Amino acid sequence: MKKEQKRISVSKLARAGKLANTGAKVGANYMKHYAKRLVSKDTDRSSLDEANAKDVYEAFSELKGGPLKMAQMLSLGEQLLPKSYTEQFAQAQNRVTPLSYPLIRRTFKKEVGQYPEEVFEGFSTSAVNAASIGQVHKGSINGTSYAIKLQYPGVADSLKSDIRLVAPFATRMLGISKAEVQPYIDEVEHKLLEETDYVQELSSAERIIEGCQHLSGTVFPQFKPELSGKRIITMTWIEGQGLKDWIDSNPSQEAKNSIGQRLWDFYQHQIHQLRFMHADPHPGNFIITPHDELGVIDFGCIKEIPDDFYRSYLKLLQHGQDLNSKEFMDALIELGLYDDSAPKKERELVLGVFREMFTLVGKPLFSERFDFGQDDFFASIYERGEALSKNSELRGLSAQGSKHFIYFNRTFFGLYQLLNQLDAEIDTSNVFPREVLRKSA
Amino acid sequence: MAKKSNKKKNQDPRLEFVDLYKQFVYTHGACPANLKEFMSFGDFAFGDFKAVFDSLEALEVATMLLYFKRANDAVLADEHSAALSPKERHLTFCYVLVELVGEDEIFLQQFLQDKKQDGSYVKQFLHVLNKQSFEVLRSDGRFSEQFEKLKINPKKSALTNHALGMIYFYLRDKSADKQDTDAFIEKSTDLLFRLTDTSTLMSMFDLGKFMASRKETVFSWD
Repeated sequence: MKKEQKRISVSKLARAGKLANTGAKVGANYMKHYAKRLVSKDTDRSSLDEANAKDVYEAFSELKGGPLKMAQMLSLGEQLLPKSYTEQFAQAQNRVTPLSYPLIRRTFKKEVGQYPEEVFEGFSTSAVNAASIGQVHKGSINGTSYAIKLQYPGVADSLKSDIRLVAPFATRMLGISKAEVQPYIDEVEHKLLEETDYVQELSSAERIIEGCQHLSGTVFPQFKPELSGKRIITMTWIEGQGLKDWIDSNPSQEAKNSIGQRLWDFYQHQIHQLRFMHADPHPGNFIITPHDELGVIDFGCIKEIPDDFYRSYLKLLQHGQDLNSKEFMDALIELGLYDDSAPKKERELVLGVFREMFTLVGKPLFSERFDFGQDDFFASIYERGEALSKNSELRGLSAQGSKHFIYFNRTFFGLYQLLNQLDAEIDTSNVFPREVLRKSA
Repeated sequence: MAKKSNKKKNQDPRLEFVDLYKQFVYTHGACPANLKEFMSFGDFAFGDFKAVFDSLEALEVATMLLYFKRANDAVLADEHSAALSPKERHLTFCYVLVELVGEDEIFLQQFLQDKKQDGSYVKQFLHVLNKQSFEVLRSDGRFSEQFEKLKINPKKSALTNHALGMIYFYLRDKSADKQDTDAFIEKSTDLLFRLTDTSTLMSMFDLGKFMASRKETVFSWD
């Protein structure tokens, strides 16, 4: 049984100390690695990565808040990081040490006015799941099971300093440049602050559920506002397996395709119909029910898609197969991806790169069906991405892209990752809903 | 007897004086400078006061001690407390204590501000506090028997003083909903229990015994 963690390091100094300690451990791992290399030439880098990843993950896990969320987000970037890192970081998605029960009781009493055992039958004194900013308990009322999510104390106040602490360490420990990490850092900070607002989360959840509940094979929890508050959210418990565990249970290809399709449809519907989307597609946020339905269980990270961004994005997609068209160029400019006043050399470089990457990444969007299980597809994306990241000519470009891409790309990237993990082949022909096309025509 | 207090039938007379003391602080925005000033405010007989307290300072010590006693009694009265581990019991005690302190926050802010400079009060309060035996702060485990023989209980003392430190933290906490106090309780309790873990204390005890037994040889220059 996992030992309970009864503290969150709150003071900046303490948290910095924790990360500095991890930096020292990583240094020690390098020493061990090179010492081993002296006696055995066969020692490969993966054992070093594994040791580093374990230490980094443990530090992030203990600090919770910002660092853990960083770990979660970086785990979405499989193949961007060495495999050992992503395996360790993937743990952040659903396995973190929980806080003490006396605090849970106190929080519940303060928020709801009663102790959990007075409201629920069989309230779990230990957390059944813990994540970056809160933990989940289980209880039932009149035979209906509920998930009760409670937020760690002081998390919101600690976030900004957490993120600022993480940035330099993450840069050094993960071997990624500050410029590459910065968009993640900014996004995490913004999203984490949003995620600490449980009142907002409840409202966002109700909006998405109302807009998506008709989707076939997709189920959502029912929320209990009277048992929710600033630091508590109570919702019906969705029985089933977490997406990762479900994939590990070796389901049939047909079942994986079906879940993949539901995920795809869920996101396409949100983007094109609701313009308001669940922007945290990692396995810990999805449950597969015993009837192979897709359960969506977390609504903390939501992205509102502004109309002007959506119109330009749609234009980009509609003319994405005619990369030399005026409309395609206009969309690039509107989205801040291309600066037509930049020097000719820069414009040519950007256009070349963008056309190449758009053709590659946009493949599923322009296909009737797409097999996300093709590792070659992902390998070529990461290969090209890595090559581009090393291209010094691309640094300091005048066009940096709309800020909305940060959330938007993260969602797409996360969705692609999930579909790849599912090894799913799905119908992707609904990217342009008929009514959307009719309106734009 | 205290005339300004709202006298309740069969109430412990000490509690009446504590209530009166709080009324004084609320009314004057400061602690009474001496017993005469307090007597004048409360309009009570000196003999009534002396029957339960030796001095104004003794009343002031009792006023703070009362929060600990009430927290202790509340935890013991909770039907769930018997099932709690020592660490959970301590955490529960701390959370009850901050609830009680929260009810009197304005009084305590003023009281502790005034007493901050008074070394004699702090010394006496700590002396009395550490002599108390709060049931919920009892330390379990084999090591306590060993330390009992030496008439020391480092864990009990640490737990008691930790709870006092938590009151000071709470009163200075400016975070939303005093969330930092919760976090402080969680993390400091964890540290406290790690530091006073049976095995750690036993190791310290073992080392101390070893050193004491060799003091005439290895640890002596004579």
